[in-house]
Amino acid sequence: MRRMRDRDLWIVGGCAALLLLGSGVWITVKRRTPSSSLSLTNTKSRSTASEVEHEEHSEAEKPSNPGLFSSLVRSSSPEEGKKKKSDSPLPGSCGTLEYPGEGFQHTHISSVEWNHVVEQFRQGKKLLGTWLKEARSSLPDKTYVFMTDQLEAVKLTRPPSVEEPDLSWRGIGVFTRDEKNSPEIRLSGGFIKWAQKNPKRTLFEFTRLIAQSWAPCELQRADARNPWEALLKCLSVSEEQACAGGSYSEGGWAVSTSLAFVLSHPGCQVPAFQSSASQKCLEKISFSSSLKGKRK
Amino acid sequence: MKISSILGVISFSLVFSGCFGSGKDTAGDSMGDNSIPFSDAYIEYPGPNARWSGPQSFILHSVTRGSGKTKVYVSSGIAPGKNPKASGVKAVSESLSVEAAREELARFYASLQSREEIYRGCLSPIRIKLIRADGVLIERQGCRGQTGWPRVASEVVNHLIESSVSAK
Repeated sequence: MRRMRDRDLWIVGGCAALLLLGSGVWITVKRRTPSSSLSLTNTKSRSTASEVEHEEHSEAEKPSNPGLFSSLVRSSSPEEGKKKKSDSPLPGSCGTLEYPGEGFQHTHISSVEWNHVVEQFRQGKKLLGTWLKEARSSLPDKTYVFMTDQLEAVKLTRPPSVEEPDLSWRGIGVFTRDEKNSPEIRLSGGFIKWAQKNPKRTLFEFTRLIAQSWAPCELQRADARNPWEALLKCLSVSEEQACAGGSYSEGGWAVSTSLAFVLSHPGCQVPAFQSSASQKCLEKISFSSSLKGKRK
Repeated sequence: MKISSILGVISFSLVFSGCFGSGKDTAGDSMGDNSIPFSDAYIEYPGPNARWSGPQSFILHSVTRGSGKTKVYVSSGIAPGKNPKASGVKAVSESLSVEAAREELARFYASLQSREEIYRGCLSPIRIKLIRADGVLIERQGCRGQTGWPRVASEVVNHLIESSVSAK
């Protein structure tokens, strides 16, 4: 009997030790291995033949955790760079070129440069305003009023942005809302340079940024009916969970890019509209024959 | 046999309660010793799906292990310089002391404790990972432009790049 009890105790002890060892390994793995799914979006190769510059760097320059970076940054080796080129979309595609900014303390914008950018912003607003008038009859009243108000309210903030100082190193614009919940576009220093070099592309960017105030979730917030369902369905963008708390909206990018592509062509091809089927989707937002001609 | 069964159940539940208690987001009460410094920080601004030709993704990775200078890596498309570039990884120079960067990260961690604004249908997300020297991992996801920790993250990114560039 006593021998039996001893044997039982040995078995229990052994099991507990194994479980403890197993859980220890599990906890260690959990703690030491950050998830490699850092990327929120599909960040497949977005470089183009015309705009890409592959940068080679030494082993010492590589990040200590390439797994995390590799989900976003693809050209970490010459081999990958070559692969990337072969995977690139058709020549003439819009790339992800970005002019770096000079930093918060060294952002200097001349009045000529700023006036040029403001003019582009106004032009983008005007294009969307014209489109909105043409679309008036196909939009519910509440939606039309909301979109008109958004268009009037959206403002442009001169860089560097105090609220988002990291932008001073970037070459992008972002759509956001200020403390009064009014739509606002914040620009980075590099975007100003870009506007001087490629005004056609930055007009497209402005139109897109302003149109983000008409994103499906913005409309939903105002309880205005979403007029973009047909377009999103045609572009195969699913938005079931997009406006839930803590969600990301692909639809916002789809709608704003489609509008900008139709109203102020960037002078390059947006991959989403490369196929003739997706080109046809744009007809759902083209209300006049002049616009239909523009996107080609 | 009864004793062994009871002991088995107790040890099993003790072991697994430990496992569940070490979830990936360990911020808050389960952080334990707050004096343990952060060894790595990742701040990521992911770009939209490639098919929209939107802004490229950006990651800053700071390494504050041991002593000496902080190592800061950024995706090279955004690395300070005169010319535009596509994606890649570039190390910016090391200038900020590890201690100073750790203080900055501790301030950032403190901002994660404040109440978060709820966002819906974000167009420009932000994700962060902080790794403590003992391996504890803290992850958060938010939206650019939100008040609270996303704003502090922007300040941290700016400060880390600025201090690296000014050393050149």
